[in-house]
Order: sequence, then structure tokens, then C-alpha cells
Amino acid sequence: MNSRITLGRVALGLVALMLAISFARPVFAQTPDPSDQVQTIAKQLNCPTCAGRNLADCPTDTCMQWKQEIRTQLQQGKSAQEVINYFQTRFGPSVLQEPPKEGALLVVWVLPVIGLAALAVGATIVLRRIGRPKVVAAGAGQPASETATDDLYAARLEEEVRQSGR
Amino acid sequence: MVTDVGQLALILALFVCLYAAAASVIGARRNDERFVQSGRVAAMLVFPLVFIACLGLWFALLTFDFGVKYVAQVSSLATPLFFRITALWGSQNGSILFWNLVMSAFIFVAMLKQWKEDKSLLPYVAATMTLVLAFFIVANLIAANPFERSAFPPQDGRGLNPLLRHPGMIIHPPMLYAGFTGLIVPFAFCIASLATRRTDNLWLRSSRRWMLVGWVFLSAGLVLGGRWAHDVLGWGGYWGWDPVENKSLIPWLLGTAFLHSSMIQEKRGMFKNWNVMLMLLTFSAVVWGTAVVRSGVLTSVHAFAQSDLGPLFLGFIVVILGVSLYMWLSRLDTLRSENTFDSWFSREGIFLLQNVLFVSTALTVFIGTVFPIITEAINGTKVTVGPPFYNQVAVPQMAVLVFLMGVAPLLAWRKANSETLGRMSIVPLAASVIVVIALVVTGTRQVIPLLLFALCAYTFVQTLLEYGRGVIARMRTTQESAPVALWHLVQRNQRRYGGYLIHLGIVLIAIGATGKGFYGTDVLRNVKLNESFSLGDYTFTYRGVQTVPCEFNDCQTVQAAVLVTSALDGHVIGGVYPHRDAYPVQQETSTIADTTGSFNEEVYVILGGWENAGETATFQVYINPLINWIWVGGAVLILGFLVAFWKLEPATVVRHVPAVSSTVGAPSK
Repeated sequence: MNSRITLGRVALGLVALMLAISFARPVFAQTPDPSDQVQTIAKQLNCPTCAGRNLADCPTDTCMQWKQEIRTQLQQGKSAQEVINYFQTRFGPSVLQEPPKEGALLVVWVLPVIGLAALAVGATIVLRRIGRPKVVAAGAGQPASETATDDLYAARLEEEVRQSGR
Repeated sequence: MVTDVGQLALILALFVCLYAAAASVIGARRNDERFVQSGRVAAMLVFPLVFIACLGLWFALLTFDFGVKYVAQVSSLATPLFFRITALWGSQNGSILFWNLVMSAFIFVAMLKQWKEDKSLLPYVAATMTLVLAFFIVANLIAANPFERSAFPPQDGRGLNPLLRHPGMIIHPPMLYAGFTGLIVPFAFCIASLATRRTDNLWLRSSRRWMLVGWVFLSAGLVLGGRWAHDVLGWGGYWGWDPVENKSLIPWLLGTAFLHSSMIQEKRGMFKNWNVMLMLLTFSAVVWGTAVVRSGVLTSVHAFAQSDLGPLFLGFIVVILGVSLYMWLSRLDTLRSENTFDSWFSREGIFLLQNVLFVSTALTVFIGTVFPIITEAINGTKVTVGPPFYNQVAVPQMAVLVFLMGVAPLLAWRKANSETLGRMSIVPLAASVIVVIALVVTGTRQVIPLLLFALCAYTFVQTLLEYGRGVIARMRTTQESAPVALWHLVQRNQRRYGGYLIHLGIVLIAIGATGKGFYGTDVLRNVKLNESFSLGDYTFTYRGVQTVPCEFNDCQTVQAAVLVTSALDGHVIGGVYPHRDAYPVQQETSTIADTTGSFNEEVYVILGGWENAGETATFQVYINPLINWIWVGGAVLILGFLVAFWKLEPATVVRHVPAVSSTVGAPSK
């Protein structure tokens, strides 16, 4: 097998891996009970009294009232999305666990990607510069073709393993 | 009286800090040993002084001196002795005093331990550390004075926040504080190396060692914080991407990057700029995080109340960043790489890739954390960024890191051999396949968790094999038995094999997080007395509520009894007794879960409420698969640190391979 491992291929593989994980969603219990629908909706909302936790996970009285409100609205025949929209119009986008991927809020989703790309490009550029052999620097003695490791113990280990593998 | 002594000691500590900084710098500039020594002694003196200040506050807490505002705020006549002691860090003002105590302790130990080794750097190390500490003492005195007295002392205090009455709360903040303040030592070595232009590996060795200390405290603090949140908050989770958690995670991520990239500089003389930048960035992140949380800019479960610390900290961040940037840019010429970069497909290549991902993950978490502040500044509404954002943007990057962790040890420096990598990957890949097949057979169908478990299996087995290969090689060359060979192997390179143990701990945590994240289920049910409901393989039957004596004497407890049986064959698994504690004085309720189930699957039940004296009650039940692996992973991680850090044999003993003893044989300093 002589498939060369290039930077491009490695990067491509890793990006694919990250994308795949990024689109993963947890499985939720699917027993048909109205409470479950309430919880599914509540998981997408922020709780007003438990900082940093979603509505479904917050046991305070206020949150129980919000959940009751969701239940009432569902009983009135509203769809899940309508209930969420109701909370969003009433309390603003800050009530949502996940900022909508639209308009100005798209920024928060895009920035990390730009950051990662910029870091990767920056690292590559710097490496290209270091990688170019300058005036034969003293100390950078060993030719690159020499044994891959500068670690004698590891080299011996590797040798041992190679022998034991035969 | 006694509190006045405490107050005085703190003021004195400030002046001693300033003196220590001045004397150290003067001594170093004039090359005058007397000043340098005097600076060192002064820096060490700060610790006892801050300790006296703490004693003063402890005295007030123990004697119910409610004339001191802080004491009235965090304790009451009903607060048990134990919690009056830990109340020292139970709220903002006292916790900054405690922070200063921990930081001064680090300075004390650093001055004591490092003195013989790096003499040229030490005056500047002392000056940097004492100046930073001086800032925190000033903040303590001006904006958050725990000794402040009230004109009309109340008869009784408010008592400690109910959420803080948990063993986890007793160890978790000190651990985190030690993690944050411990980073002052590596930071100071970095600044000192820039100041003296001694940017060789001298600072790096000291910084790395101290970074490891701060890092393990941070790790322990993060895991214990998760445990505390799991036990106390009644939500089944352990990590919520909450601002306080995030601000602890960011330095951890950057510090982890530094621990690895510093190895490249040690072995290959490369990336010196990068290491300096990472170090400066890590400490800046600590100060930033402290500022954001303590000023009340961001709200959080763990956060302290609004305070005047904001502007003070903001100014300090500007100073830290400004000084760091100036020092770095003015010393760029000394930070040239000594070697050339040969290939991406090498140990240093993959370390760099890993560094890019660590920094980018830290950046992602940072963006998510500050986004509410940004949106508020722009249009007045705080837009919260919840866990879904981090799960979609930060977690994928972390998953790749887990994979790199498995591959990196197989790659040689300079240029690796893909055949070797392939050959050494056969067993771990086989393990991944077996895990995936086993999971599919037992009913797991989702692709992504399968992929994640496969990644974890690969890295776990690969890391174990690293031990195995080493042991076999030793057994062949030295005819030792396996346990002896393992012992000697670890002893000869504690840093490496301790590091692998830490890797194993991280994989266990990743497995736990995947299990809970993808297979955790929960249900909310309102049931009548003796009515049942089911979740997963369990059936829950409500048996009633009753009032029971509360754990503390300023609260009332109502406890529910729920019988848990198997939904498959009906056998009794156990009873759970979740309860709600009402604290009338604080007007708070804490919801304490009770758990049952097995090691691999925790069943977590909370009492949401009850009606008509318990005729009906509401329960929320969580099934948390593999969550216990997270705590085990945390313990393994700490064990790994001990292996890497604790010197098992004197550094002078050199055997077998004298030529490379400096890099491989002897345990590193």
C-alpha cells in the first residue's frame, strides 16, 4: 500500500468527520404521552430562572408554570413550532437554546469556522516558511532521510516490535 | 478586633508584594544578590500574611460576628461548623480572599522549590507573580472587602446558599482556584524569559512542570464541578456549557495545547513563538474568565452577584494583554526556530494540528460565551447560546482530538512511516470493529455515536498497546517479568507513560459523554398514588410523600418514595427517595435527586412537585448511560498526573542508555 498521506487528504478526512458529528442529534424517548411533547419543546427553550439550563431540566416553580403553559397551548391544538414561536415573539430570541441560523445571528455559527480555517491557514504558511531550508544552518545536521526517530529508546522499541512481528 | 488584624494583614500583604517586585527587579538590574534575596523573602512572606487575613475572617465566621457583612451574608446561627469554615469561599468577597491565599501559596512554593535551579530568571518570576497578586489584593480591598462592617449588625445571618451545602462544593472551588492561580507560575516564567531574553528551553522546562500542576487542578476542578452540578442541580446532567464552566474550560484547552507544543520545542527547538503566545494567551484567558464571571456580566448557575469588580478587571486585562504583547513582539528576534519542519506526517506535524484544534475549540467556546454580551451591546437583547451550539461546533473538534490522541504516539519525529502506522493500527482497528459490531447487535443503530465509540476504542486500545509494546521490548532485552518490566518502563519515562494514563482517562470521559449525550433519555410524569410509569427498561411506582427531618436545621424536607422495578421481568431494582428542601430564609428550594441502577446505567429521579398532600406528584426521571465513566476517567487522569509528576527514582540514576538519558531515561524535571 503506497497511498501517500498528504496534508490535503488528512484535512479532508478530518473535516468530513467533524461535519458528520456536527449534524448528529441525540435520540429522544418516543412514548406517546403529552408530557413528552412538552419536554421536547421545553428542551429547545431557556429557563428564566435556571441560568444555563434548558427549561426541561429546570425544576423551579417558574419553569413548571412555563411547562404548564406549553401543555395548555398544545391542548388548544397548537403545533410544537407554533408554541416555540409564541415564546420567541413574547421573550425574544434569547429564549431559544439554539440561536436561529439566520440574519445577524448567523455570525455566531460562522465565526468559529472562520477561526479554525484562519488558524489552519496561518499554521500552514508559517510551516512553509520554517520548512524551506535556509542557509545550511549549523545544528540542523541530520539529513531528513535518516531514521525517522531521534528517540533511541523508541527506535529500539520499534525494532523489537518489528522482529516480534515476523 | 481580630477581623481588624485580618484586614491589616491583607493591607500589609499588598505592600510586601509591591516591595518584593521592586526589590527583585532592582536586584536583577544591578546584579545585587542582596536585593534579589530580599525580594525572594518578601514574596514568600505574602503567603503567611494572607493566611493571617483568612484566619481573621474564619474567626469572624466561627464566632458568629454578624457585624461583618460577609459573615451575615454567608452564615447564620443555624449553620453547622463545617459549613462556617467553608463559607470562607461561599460568596464573592471571601472567595477572592481565598483566591489570594491560594495564589500566594503557589508563589511561596515556587520561590522555595525553584530557587536553586533557574537563578537568572527568578527575580523576574518573583516580580511578575507578586505584581499580579498585588492586583488581586487591591481588588479584594477596594471592590470586594470581606472585612467590611455594617452599621447595624443583624441578629442572625442569611445562612449559606443551599446549593453550596454539598461536599463537592467544598473541594471543587479550591481545586479550580488552584488551577487558575497555579497558572501564574508558568506565566511568570514565560514573562521572565522574555524580560531576560533567555528564551531557550530553560523557562519552558519550569513552565511546563508548573503548567502540569495547574492543569491537573483545573481538570479535577472541572470534573468535581460536573459532579457537584449533577448531584445538586436536579437536572441529570453534569455539563451545561454555562459561562462559568466555559471560562474554566478555555484555559484548560489552551493549557493542554501548551503541554503538547512545549514538547516540540524541547525535542526539536521549534515553535518557540507559538509556545510563548500560548502561555500568554492561557493566563490572559484566566484573567478574562475571572473578570467576566466575577463582574456579573454573564449570569450562570455558579456565578457571583453583580459587583464593582468589572471596570477594575477590565483595566487589568488590558494591562496583561498589553504587557504580554509588548514583551513578545520586542523579543521576536530571539525566538527563531532552530530546525526545519520536514513533514506534516510526523509527531510535530500532528502536534501542530492538535494545537490548531485546541486553540480553535477554545476560540469556539469563547465566541459562544461572549456572544450574549456582543448582541446586548449591539441591539440590547442578550441572545443566549445554549448547548446545541457547542454540541454542533465544539464537540466535533474535540472528537477529532480524541482520534489524534490515539495516532500521535505512533508517529516519529521529523517524518513518520505510514507502513508502521498501518501495521500498528491493526489491533486497535480490530477493537473498534468489535465494539461497533457488539453495539449494533445490542441495538444501537445511530451512525455518529457508533463512530464516536469506535474512535474511543481505537485510541484506548492504541494507548494500552503503547504500554504493551514497551513492556515486551523490556522483557526481551532485560529478561524481566511483565510487572517488573512495566514498573521499570514507567519509571524510566514517567512523563510519557503518565501522559498515556491521562489519555486513557480522557477517553473514558469521552465514552461517558457520548453515552449520556446520545443515549440519555428522560421523562416528566404526573402520577397518582401507587400509579406507575415506565422509561427504558424501568418501571417507576409512586408510593407517597412525607415530611422528614432536614439535613440542616434551617430547612424543611419533603421526601417522595418511588419503587423502581424492571420493566422486562418485574424484579425489584430498588427504592429511590428524591426530596425537595425548602429554605424559608433564603427563599430557595433545592431539588435533590436519588439514584439507582447500575454502574453503566444510572437512573436519576427527581421530585418535581406534589399536590393535595401527595395524592398526585410529578417526577422527572433521567436515564444516564455511562455517566459514571466520566468520574472514573477523572480519577484515572489524576493518577496519570501523579505518575508523570512524582519522581520515582533519583534523577541521577542512569542506566542502559546513557547517551539519551536526558530525553528518555531520567524522569524529567
